[in-house]
Amino acid sequence: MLRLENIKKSFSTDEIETVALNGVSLEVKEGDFLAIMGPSGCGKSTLLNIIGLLDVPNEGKYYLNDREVSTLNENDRTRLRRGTIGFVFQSFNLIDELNVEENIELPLTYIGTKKDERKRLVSELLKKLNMGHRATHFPQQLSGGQQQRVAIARAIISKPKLILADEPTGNLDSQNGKEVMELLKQLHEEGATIIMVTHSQRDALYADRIVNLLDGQIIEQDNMI
Amino acid sequence: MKRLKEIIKNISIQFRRFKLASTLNLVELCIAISTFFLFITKVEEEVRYNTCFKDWRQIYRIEVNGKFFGAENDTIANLFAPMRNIVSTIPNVKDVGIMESSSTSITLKYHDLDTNEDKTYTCHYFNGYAEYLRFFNIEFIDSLAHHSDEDIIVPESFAMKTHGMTHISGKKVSWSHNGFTTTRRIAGVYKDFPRNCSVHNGFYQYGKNNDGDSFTNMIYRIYVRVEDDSCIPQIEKDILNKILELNNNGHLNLTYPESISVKLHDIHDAYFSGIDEIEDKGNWTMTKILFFSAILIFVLTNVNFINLTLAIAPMRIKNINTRRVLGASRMSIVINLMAESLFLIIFAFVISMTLLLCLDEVVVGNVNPLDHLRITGFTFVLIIWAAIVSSAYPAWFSTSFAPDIALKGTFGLTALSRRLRTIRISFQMIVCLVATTVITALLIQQQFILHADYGFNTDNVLYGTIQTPEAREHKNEIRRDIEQIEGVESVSYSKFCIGTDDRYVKWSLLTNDKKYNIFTNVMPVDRFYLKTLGIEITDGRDVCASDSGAFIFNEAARRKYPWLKTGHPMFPYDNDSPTDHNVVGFCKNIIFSSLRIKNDEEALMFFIPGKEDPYYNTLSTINIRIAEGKDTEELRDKINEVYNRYSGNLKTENGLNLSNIKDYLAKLYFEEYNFLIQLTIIAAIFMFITLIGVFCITLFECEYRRKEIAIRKVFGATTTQVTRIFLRKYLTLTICSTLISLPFSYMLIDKLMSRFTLHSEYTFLAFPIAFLLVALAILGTVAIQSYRAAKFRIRN
Repeated sequence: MLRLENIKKSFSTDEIETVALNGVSLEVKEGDFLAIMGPSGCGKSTLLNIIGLLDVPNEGKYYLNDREVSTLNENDRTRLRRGTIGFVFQSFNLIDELNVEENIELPLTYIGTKKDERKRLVSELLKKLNMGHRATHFPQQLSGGQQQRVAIARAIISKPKLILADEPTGNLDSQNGKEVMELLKQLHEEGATIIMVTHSQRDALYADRIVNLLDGQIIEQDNMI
Repeated sequence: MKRLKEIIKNISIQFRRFKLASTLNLVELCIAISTFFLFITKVEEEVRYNTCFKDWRQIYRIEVNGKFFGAENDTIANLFAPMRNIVSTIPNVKDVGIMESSSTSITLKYHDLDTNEDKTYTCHYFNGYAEYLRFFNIEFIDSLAHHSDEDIIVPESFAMKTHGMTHISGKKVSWSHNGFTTTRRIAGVYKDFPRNCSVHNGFYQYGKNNDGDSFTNMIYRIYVRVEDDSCIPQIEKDILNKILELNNNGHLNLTYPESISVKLHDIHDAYFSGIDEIEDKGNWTMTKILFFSAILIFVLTNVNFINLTLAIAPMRIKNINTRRVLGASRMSIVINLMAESLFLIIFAFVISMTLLLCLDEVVVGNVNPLDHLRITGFTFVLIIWAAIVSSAYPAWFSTSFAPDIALKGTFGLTALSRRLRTIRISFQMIVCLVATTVITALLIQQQFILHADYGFNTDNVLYGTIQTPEAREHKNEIRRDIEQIEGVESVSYSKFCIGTDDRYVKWSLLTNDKKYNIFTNVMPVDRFYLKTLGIEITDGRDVCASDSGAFIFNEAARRKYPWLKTGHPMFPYDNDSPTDHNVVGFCKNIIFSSLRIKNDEEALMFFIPGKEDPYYNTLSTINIRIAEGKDTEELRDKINEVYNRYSGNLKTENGLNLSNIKDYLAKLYFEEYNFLIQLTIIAAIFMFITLIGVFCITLFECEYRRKEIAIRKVFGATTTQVTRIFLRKYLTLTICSTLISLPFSYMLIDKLMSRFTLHSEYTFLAFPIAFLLVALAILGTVAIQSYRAAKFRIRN
C-alpha cells in the first residue's frame, strides 16, 4: 500500500538543526496493522505526518498506492488525502464549534457527499459506536473516551484505506483506552490498514507488526504474527 | 507591585502576540473615550446654554411677533435700543439688559511674550452699553475708579494673552478697521463669560452708540429679569401697550399694529428657537443625536471589549489553568485578568485625555479635560465600570473548568456564548451598516445640492452687484461692453440673485376686472434675463424690446391659477407702481429659492419692467453667462475692468464681486452643510469603531480557530475551502445585519432628509453602496485573515 525509501526529515530553527528522520525505509501492505514505538523525540509523529501527507520529507521517496507523493504540492496532497487516509489523534482534535454529528461528517463534506447521504452514514456509524444519543452534543460535553470514539468515527466515516492513529489512547484511562483499541482492532478485522504510534506496549500488542524508532532511524521491526 | 508587573507583562505578551489587533483595539478605545468625552462636553454645553447667569430662570428675551412692515408674519428678537428704557419702567421688571446683535469683528496685533512672536487677536467690538453687562453678572478683575464714555472693558483672556497679567486697566489699545484706526483706554478687565452663553467675550465700550435713540435700527436684543414667572403675561401685555403707544406717537410705522404680540422667551429655550439667526444656534436634534451617539459609542466599545477579551480567553485557558495547578486561587486569577482589562482601559483613558489636552489648542471650543472635571470624572467612572463588566465574564469563563480537564482538552465557547458572540458581532455590523448608509445618503444629498438641476444654467453664470450710483446709470453700457468680451455669451440684470435665498418678494396681483387675484413670488428682471440663464419658455413667448413691461409666470402658477392665460393684463395690488402689464408667457418650473421650499408648488412671476419703470433701476444684480470651458479668472478681470470704467470714483477692490452660484449655495446651505458634516463625522466615527471591532474579532477568531483550520485541512479541506467557510459565515451575518439595518437606516435618513423638500433621486443608492462597502471591508478582512491562517503548515 505504501512504501518509504530512505526518508530524511530535519527541522531548522535559527541556530539548531534537529534531525527527526534519518533514512527511514518502510513498507506497509494493505490490511496491515502497524505499531510505531520509540522514546519521545525519536521521530514517530514526524513519520506519521509524512505518511499522512501532512508533511513532506527533505529527502527520500514515498510511494502511496504506487504513486510517488513526496514531491506533491499541498493542494495535491490534500486531494489525495481525502477519502484515502483517516486520522485519530491523541488529543482527539475535535472542533469545539461543531457538534458530534457535524464533526463526524466533516471528511464527507470535502469529498462531496450529499447532505442526506452524510446524515445517513453518520447516523449508522453513531449507532454502531453506541453514540447515537450524543449526536447533537458538543465535544466539551463528552468524556475523553467518548471524544476519542467520535474522533475514530470521523476518521473512518469516509471509509479510508489507511487509518493513522497518533497515540490514540494517550489521553484515556485504561478502560476507555481498551475500548478504543478494541474498536481499532475491529476496523482492522474489517480490512482497514492501520498505522499507530504508541508508547504503550499493551496497545502495541494489538498490531501485526511493531516498528521501533530511535533517533530517527528504524532500529527494529517485529512481526507479531 | 509584583502583581502590577505581572499585569504589564501579560498585556505586553498579548500585544506582542497580536500586534495589529491589540494596537487597533487600543486605538479604538482611545478614539471611543475621546469621542464620548467630546460629545458629552458638547451636549452639556448646549443643555446648559445661558445657565451661567445668576437667576437665569428669571431672565427672558423680548420677542415680537406679527406683521411689521408687510403682509408676512414674522417673529423678531432684534429690537430698537430705546426699548430698554421703556421696558425698565414696567412693573415687576427687576432689571433690563441690552445686547447689540451686530457687532464689529476687530483684529489687533500684539507681541506674545511666551513665544516672542507678533500675533493677532480677534474679537467682537461692541460700541456702547458696557455698563449694562452688570445685568449678566459681569465680574471685574481689575477696573479704574472712573471711566469715560470712550473707555472700553476687555476680557481676562485678552489681558492674559497680550500682557500676561490681568491688571492692565489704564493701558491703551489700538486697532484698524476699514482704514480707520481706533484707540481706546482700558477701563476694566472682566472675567470671561463661558462659551455657552449669549454674552461674547469682546471689547465693550461705555456710553451708548449713535443708534441709541433710533427706533428704526433694530439690532438690539433686550432682556428682562422678572420678579416672578406669574407676572409674565402682564409684562408681555404692558410691553405690547408700550409698542402700540410708540406706533401711535409716530415713532414706529407698523403696517398691521393689531397683528402684533409680545413674547418673553426664557433665555435657555430661546437659544434653541432659531428666531435670531445669529444668536439662536441651538439645535435640539443635533444635541439629541450627540447624546445618543455618546451612549451608543459607549455600548459599542463595551461590546468590542467583551468580544476581544472573550476571543483571547480560550487561548489563555491552558496558561491560566497551569497557574491554578501550581497553586494560584481562582479568585486571584480572576482579579488578575480583570486588572489587566482595567489597566488597559485606564491606559487608553490617559492617552485620550492627553490627546484632548493637545487638541484643546487647535479645536474650536474648550475640550480641556481639566476644565470639565465633572465630565472627566464621569467618563472615568463609566470606563472603569465598562472594564469590570467587560472582563468579568471572560475571567469567570477562563477559570470555570477543572484545571486537570482544561489542561488536557481544548475548550471553546459554549453554544450559548457563541450565539451571544454572533449577536454582538451582528450588533456591531448593524451599527456599522446604518452609519455607512447614512454617510452615503448624506454625501449623495450634499452632491445633489451642488449639482441639482435648478432649471437654469448654474455652471456658467457669474453673479455680481452693481454697487455705485454712477455704474447704475450706465447699466446698458456696462452690458454692451461686457458682451463684447470674448467668452461672454449674454448679460442681464435682476433685482435678486436667483436660487440663493429662502424667500423673495411676494406680490398680490389682480386681473383688470378685479375678478381674480393671485399671490406670487416676484423676480424683477430685465428682458435678457431668461435667455442669459437659459430658462425655457413653455408657452407664449419671451419678452421683446417692444414690450414696455411684461409678466412671465412659471408652470406652478398656471397649475395653481388655471384661469391665468397669455395676453391677460394684470396689475399689482398695493404696489408703488400699480401699472398693469400683460402675461406674455409661461416658463418651466425652476428652483428659484432654496431647497428648503417646495419650489414645484410655489408660483413665480418674472416681472420685466420697462426702462421707464422705476423698478428698472432696482435691478442691480448682474448675471453674466460665459462660454463653456472659458477661463473664469481671466474673464473676471476683464469684466471688472469694464465695470470700473463706469463706476465713478468709488472703485471697489473686487469690482462687481463676481461669484458663481456654487459660492452662493455654500453660504445658503451653510447650516445644512455644517449639519451634514457633523453627522458625517459622527457616522464615520461609528463606522470606524465598529469596523475595528469586527476586524479585531475576525483576526482573533482566525487565530483561535487555527486548530480547527488545521483539522479541517487534515480531513481534506483546501485553503480555498477553509477561506470559503469563514466567508460564508460572515457573508450570512452581513446579509442578515443588512436586512435588520434597513428599516433603521431608512428611518434615520428619512428624518435627516426632512430638512430638505427636494431630495436626490439617487438616495436609494446609499443602501447597496453601504452594503457593498461594509461587506467588502468585513469580507476582505475575513478572507485575508482566514487565508493566512489556512496557509499555515498543518503539522504546526
